[in-house]
Amino acid sequence: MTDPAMSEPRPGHGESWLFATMLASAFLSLIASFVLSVDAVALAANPNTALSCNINATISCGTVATSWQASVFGFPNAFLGLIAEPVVITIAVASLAGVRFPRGFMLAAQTVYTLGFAFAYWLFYEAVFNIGALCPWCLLVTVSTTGVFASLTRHNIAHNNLHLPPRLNARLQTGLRWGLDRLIVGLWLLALAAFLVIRYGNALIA
Amino acid sequence: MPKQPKPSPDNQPSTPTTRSRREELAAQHARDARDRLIRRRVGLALAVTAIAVLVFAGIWIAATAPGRPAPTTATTPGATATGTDTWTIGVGRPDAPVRVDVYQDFMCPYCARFERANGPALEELVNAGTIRLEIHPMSFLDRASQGARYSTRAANAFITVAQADPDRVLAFNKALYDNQPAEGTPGLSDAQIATLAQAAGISRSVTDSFPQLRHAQWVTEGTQADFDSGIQGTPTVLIDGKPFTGDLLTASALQAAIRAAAND
Repeated sequence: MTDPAMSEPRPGHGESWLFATMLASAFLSLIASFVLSVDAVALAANPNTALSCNINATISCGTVATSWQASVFGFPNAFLGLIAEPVVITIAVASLAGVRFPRGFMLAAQTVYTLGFAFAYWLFYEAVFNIGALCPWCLLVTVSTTGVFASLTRHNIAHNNLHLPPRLNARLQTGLRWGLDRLIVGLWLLALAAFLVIRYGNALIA
Repeated sequence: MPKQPKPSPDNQPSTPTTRSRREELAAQHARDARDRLIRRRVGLALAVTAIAVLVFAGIWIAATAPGRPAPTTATTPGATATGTDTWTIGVGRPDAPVRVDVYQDFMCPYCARFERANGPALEELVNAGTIRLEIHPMSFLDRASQGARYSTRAANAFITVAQADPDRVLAFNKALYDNQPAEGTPGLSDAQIATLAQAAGISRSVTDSFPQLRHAQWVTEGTQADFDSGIQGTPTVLIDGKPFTGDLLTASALQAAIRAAAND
């Protein structure tokens, strides 16, 4: 596995971990999208539906779900998760079974998922600064989307799938060997958590 | 954690001699060892940071815990407990001869017109010690802000100011109505509400806590209590507990009724 001469191995220990992370994140994201979709349909049928996650004024998916930001494209955003996450799950499962996808395919996956990732954080920003409420399932989407994005990006850098300049890609690969990706993702999620705690404090649990 | 499969750079010498091959392997091992060391340190740094953040979060939440949402007893000193007294922001001398109750929702257009017509006169009467003004912020128009709960957020900010900076509460009330968003829009953001408050002279340390919605529960319970006490809409004005049925949108009618009550 560590023999540098072996260029096309079955997924090694590290790769298995990576795709397992991707699989778990995509699965969580799919569950959250599914719940949000069901809620959106229920709210469409009856705007006064009491959703289980309306915990208090701060944690309220009803507030978020009825905002215009919740259906930017004219239908609930969660539908996009229902469409995209099964593809990620398929990629992760196939990769765990040893399939290596062509470079162009992975580049396309990276491009589309990066858009989704940006969209997830735009929604997070809107929820915090303009809607003024948080919804637990949306937060799960934010975090799990981050997990998928990080693992996908890591894989694509490790396999030089992104058509980056060779020197840049080599540097990034060194960063991966040092675990800097873990560090960045970890610090990022911790910063998010700290931000929510500082901004909402006791309102999160009261 | 994942061990990175080595990239297979194309520029590696393809037919190394045995000796240089051995040296190369040794160098590779040295690099691997160094990478592993760095990796371990990075992991350790992350773990330490994670623990620090979690401890900090726990302390922060414990430190900011206000306990149960506190009704504004602090701002209604001396007010006698009747009806919905718990859910009101009192302004002016508690022993003023006339008590005026105003039930309002910051999203309600007629409340804005009421404020424009009567706000200055009411403030004068408060300052003259003629009336004790009791403002009841309500939130039933939350349904008219696209889920953004503008009424609750504005009322929360209003209560926050009433508790922290009671002298400026009427100025803030006026500012909120002067900048009232249209019904059916998400309303002003918390940041915009904070900007209005700061323009009214309220300090940042007060406005920074708006997003925490510490009084949201207060507003919800107060709105319910107001409805339970027979209030049917906003604006509703009571003079000494009796509904004022005159014209709410001109200043003179309300002032006349208040003066009449003061002379009783």
